[in-house]
This record gives sequence, C-alpha cells and structure tokens, in this order.
Amino acid sequence: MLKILKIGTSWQNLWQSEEFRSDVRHELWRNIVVPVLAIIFALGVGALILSATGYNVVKAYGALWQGVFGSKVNVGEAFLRSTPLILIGTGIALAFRCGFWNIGAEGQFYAGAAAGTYVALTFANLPPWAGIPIALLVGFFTGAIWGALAGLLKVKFCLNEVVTTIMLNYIAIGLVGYLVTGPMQEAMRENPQTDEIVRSFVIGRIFPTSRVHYGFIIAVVVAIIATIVLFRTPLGYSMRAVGYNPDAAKHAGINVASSMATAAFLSGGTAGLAGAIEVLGVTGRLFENLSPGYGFEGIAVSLLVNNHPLATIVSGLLFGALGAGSQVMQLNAKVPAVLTFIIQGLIIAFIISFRYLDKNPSGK
Amino acid sequence: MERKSYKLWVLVAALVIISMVLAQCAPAATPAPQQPTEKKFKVGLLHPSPITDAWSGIAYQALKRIEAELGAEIANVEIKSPAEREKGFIDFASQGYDLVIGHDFAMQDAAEKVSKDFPNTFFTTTGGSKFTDNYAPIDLIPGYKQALYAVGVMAGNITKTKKAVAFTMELPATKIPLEGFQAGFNSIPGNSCSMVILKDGNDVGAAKEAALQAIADGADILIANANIAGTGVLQAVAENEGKVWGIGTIGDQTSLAPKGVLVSATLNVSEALFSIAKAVKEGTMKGGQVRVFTVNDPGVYDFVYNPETADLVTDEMKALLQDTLNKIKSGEIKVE
Repeated sequence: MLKILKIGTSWQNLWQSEEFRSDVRHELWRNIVVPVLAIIFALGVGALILSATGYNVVKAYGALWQGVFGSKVNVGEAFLRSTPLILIGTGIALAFRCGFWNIGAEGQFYAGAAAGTYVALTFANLPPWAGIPIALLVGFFTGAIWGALAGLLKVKFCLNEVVTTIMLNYIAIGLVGYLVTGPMQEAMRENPQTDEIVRSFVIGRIFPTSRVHYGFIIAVVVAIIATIVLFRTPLGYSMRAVGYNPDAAKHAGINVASSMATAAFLSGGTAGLAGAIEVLGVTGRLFENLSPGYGFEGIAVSLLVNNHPLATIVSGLLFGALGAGSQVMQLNAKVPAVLTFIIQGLIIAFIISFRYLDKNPSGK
Repeated sequence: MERKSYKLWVLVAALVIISMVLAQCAPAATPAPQQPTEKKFKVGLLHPSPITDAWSGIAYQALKRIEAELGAEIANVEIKSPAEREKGFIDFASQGYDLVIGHDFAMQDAAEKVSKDFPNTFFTTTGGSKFTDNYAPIDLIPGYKQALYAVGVMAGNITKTKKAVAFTMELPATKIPLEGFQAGFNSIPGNSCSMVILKDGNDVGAAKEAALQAIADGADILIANANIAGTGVLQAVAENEGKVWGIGTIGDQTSLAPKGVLVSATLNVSEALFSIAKAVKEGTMKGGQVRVFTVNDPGVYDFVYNPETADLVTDEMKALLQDTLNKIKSGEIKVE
C-alpha cells in the first residue's frame, strides 16, 4: 500500500518526498504497467498459437472483445462470473496473509451452497427481506465452520492444512453428491439435483437488461470490509504478523493459534457465502458439479494481486471477463474451447511471471 | 540500474510482440461479395466437458453429422460453469440459430428460461423434465429400459446358475434401465437377478470387488451401468472367463472381457440428437413435451454381439431377443 494511506500528512508534503514519488512510480509500474504488458504478451503469444493452428486472429480477438464489451449483457456477464471469484479470492487473501494455506475453498463453497439451498427449500415461506439474508448467513457460517475445521486441526494438532483442506474438499463434494441423490433430491427423483428454490429466495438482478445480480455488490462490500479488517484493525494486524513470521508474532504477544483459526474461519465463510450466492443468484438449485473449480480459481485470483483483498475485485473481474469473452470467441470465431482456455491461462501466467521479474519487495 | 535494464527489455519485447500481432492482423484478401442465399439451417451445441470426453464427444459427433447430412451451419461452446449456461443459450438464439442443444440435464432450467424469450429457436437438452412450446428435452431412459429387458430375457435363457447381478448407482438414469434387465431376466421362471448399488461411479476397484463377491455367491451373468466403475465389473468377468459372462452397456464393451461379454446394449445418443435436428429442419419437431425415445425409434438402441461367445449367443438366442423387442414394440410386452 502507498504510504499516503499509512501516515497522516498533506498531499503537497508527500509529493515533495522523493521516496513517496518513487513509491507511486513503483506502484503504478507493478499494478498497472506490468499487468497491461502481461496481457499484451499473452495476447501476442495467443495470436501466434491461433495463427499456427489456422484460426483468424482478428476474428478471434474481435469476438473476445465483443464477448466482454460488445453489449450491456456481455459486460454484465463478466460481473456475474466474477462474483464467486471475488468472494473466494478475498477469503484466500485473508488466509494466505496469515500463512494459512487454504486449498479448501472448493469444499467450503459446496458446504455454503448446500446450507443456503437447505434454508431456501425448508423455509420457503419466508419473505425475501428475511429469507435471502438468512440463507446467505447460514451459507457463510457453514463455509466458515468447514474452513475452521482445518484451522483447528492445524492449531491443535499441527496437521498440515494443505492436506486437510484438500481432504475436506472431497468430503464436502461427496456430501453434496449424497444430498442431491438422497435426502435433498428433487421431489420427482429423476435427476441428481434438488428442487428449484422459490422465487422469493432468488437474488434480484441489478439491471433488467443484464443477468448480474446483487450478489456482485455483496462481493464488493465483502472485499472492502476484508481490506479494512486486514489493514485497519488489530485483528488484521495480528493475522498479517502471523503470516510474516509466526515465531516473532508469538514473542510479540500475538495469539498465533487464534489468528490462524480466525483466518481459516473467515476464509471459509467467504467461500461458503459464494456458494450460497451462486445457488440463490444463478443456478436456483443445488446439484453435483455446481462449481467448475471456483475454489481453485479463487487462489489464482488472490495470488494475482499479491493477496490484497480489495484488488481481488479487479482480478476477479479479469477472470470473469476472460470467461465471458472466451465463450463468444468459441461461438463466433469457432475457436475451440481449449485454445480459449490456453489464452486465458497465458494471460494469468504472464502476469505472475512478470511479478516474479519484479525484484521489489511484495506489497503488503 | 539492473531493474531499469530489465524494464527496458520488457518494453522492447512488448513492442516486438505487438508488431508480430499487427503482422498477424494484416487484412486478408477481400472476400467476394456474397449473393443473397437461402437462410442456412443453424445448429448450436452447449456441452459440459471437452469434446475429447466421451459424453460430450457423442454430442459433437451428432453435430458434425448434422453439418454433413443436413447441411447445417454448426458451432459448439463448452460450458464450464453453471453461470455460463443461460448466456450460452442466449448467445446462440440471439444469432438466429434454429436449434440449440444443451448436452446436460442440468441445462434444463436455463433452456426453459431462455426459450420463452426466443420463440423462433428450438431448444433441447439431453435429459430434463421441463418443457415449453419451443423446448423439448429428450428422455432416452424408457427405451433403454426396454432394450435391456430384451437382453435380460436372452441372458435369462443362457444362465446356468439362474443367478444374475446388476450393478448400478442410486441414480435414475443408471438404475432404471437395469430394472428393465432385472425384469427381463426374472421373467424366466426360477431366475433371480439382484441389484447392487455402488456408492462411487468412479471407483473401479470397489466395483470389481463387489463383482467378485457376486461371482463367489453363484451369479454367472453380470451387468453394470455405473459410469466408469462398471468397467471393474467386466474386469472381474474377464478374470473368470468361461464360467461367468457379462453384458456391455452404453457402448460396445467387448474389449473389456473379450471372451466374456455376450452382447453390448448400446445407447446411441448421437442418433437421438440427429433425429431431433432432422425433425426441427423438417418442421415436424413438437415442443410442449418431453421427447421420449423408445425402441420404436430406429438406430437409437442397438446390440453388438461378441463373436467369441457365439456358442452361447446362438442365432436362436438372437432371434429370441429380437422377438422380445418386437413384442415390446407392438405393445404385447409392456416394460414400465
């Protein structure tokens, strides 16, 4: 973060400081120039691949552009798809900043989705103003508990959270599989899915012409709150201190176990909230394969911006836009899905590679 | 200083890349102005996994056949997340596609929703129970249950121990067809076919162990309809060739137990999708219903016999299977 956010002094005084100007230049370089260059490089390499495989580069990138900015509907799609990624990315940022390597967002997402669906199906008579917040809160807390389980296993028994969170992913996904073929299966019992949630539980759309719903606003608010918590509260300070050096933090009087468990809880909570929002805002029911890997994509969303919760809004939107654009690229330019995924992957890989080239200390 | 030099290098490299891209973007030869032509039949496909995957590959085969035989303009889009489904249907429909196929039962909600906004496009999904005036999901299960009933009757006449075991999962799409086999096998007096529910359709080892247990219990006919796990059952058959026989499902599974598979009852999803496209093109496709496929639909359900087991599956047995099928087609035998 820039020092302007850390010290109380006037802009004029700050700007006269060579150190501050250097800071600004550096922040601009690493947060704007580097990503833009990375995107140019990736598109360049992508163009070569497209050309070598016999596809029209202009048509393909035209379709990509069209898919992202071609219409209000398409812009809305990018926002819609970024919603779970921003939420999960935010949670991952909190956990990683605390040194808790949460690979379990996928399972936490499923846990939250199942809990949110359960509330929506069981308490279908609740009015929207009560039903939706309750379903989302239950989704948040279920995901949080799922995350906290791994947190407790780490702080109480020193179990490696990478292993436990991955295992908890399998358990959550398996549980959802059981629920949608057993106790929560649709009344017709034909397909492995729940019944559709009632209309009063569906999260409303922000604009009538686009599918983006209020879940996006929630995601942005959560990212802002997470940023404030992380950088402006004693809890956030403790979490970051533990992430830097748990031994030093312990000697400074910080409760390392509590910080880590809290980080795991909050990280799982945002993923659980994402799951509940996905059901209430997009799918309308729970089924297996609800997530295409949001939990893992969320890790990339967070790492891309050095685990900064606020910046996950930008990286989440980037991922969302690429997803929306690649769909239209397949349709209009007849580019196979694999090539569109390669181009998406190249963009991310180049951004991360460029960050590695940047020898400056990582922004904390 | 060091940092500046690498920044410079990066900028230079960026310029090189940009120039390469611009070179690639050089305008191609101007195409000749097109003559106004008759509106082309356009078919779009949304598939849930790469086309190299068996399930989506089936739909892609159908799409290519639709292109070749119906002269359709085709496009396919892989759907990675649930959020993409509705947009996928909208994208195709808004570009004037005549038919959009969603190759996943989970796409039915999106198809139903979008179909109301695009009455000039016909929608279908592989599986589903909802429908609108221009959306009809396809249901292949009833016909497959009938086909497996006929196989069950034939197997019921081949068994020596009078015992068969059917392995499936607690999913209607996999379980219901095997109920047909069970009914057909049990229609022979003294026969008994039991059903084993596997917990995991990907656990080949567990399915194989369950099959070995069934063999130890005296079953000599095994059939599985349980995704990948089903291959474990045929592996157990292969290890007991000569005394136990298997029935292939969905595709030709002879290779899994070359001397043990009696017959494979194949489900030609590709044919079903092709027939939908043909009907849409001819204007005979009706919405407002689930398009239920039965053994009366030609080419959708087929039987691949294994020459290695021809001594058991004699012409007489094949005739028995065909006769049972004919009785189902005529309504003499009801498989419900």
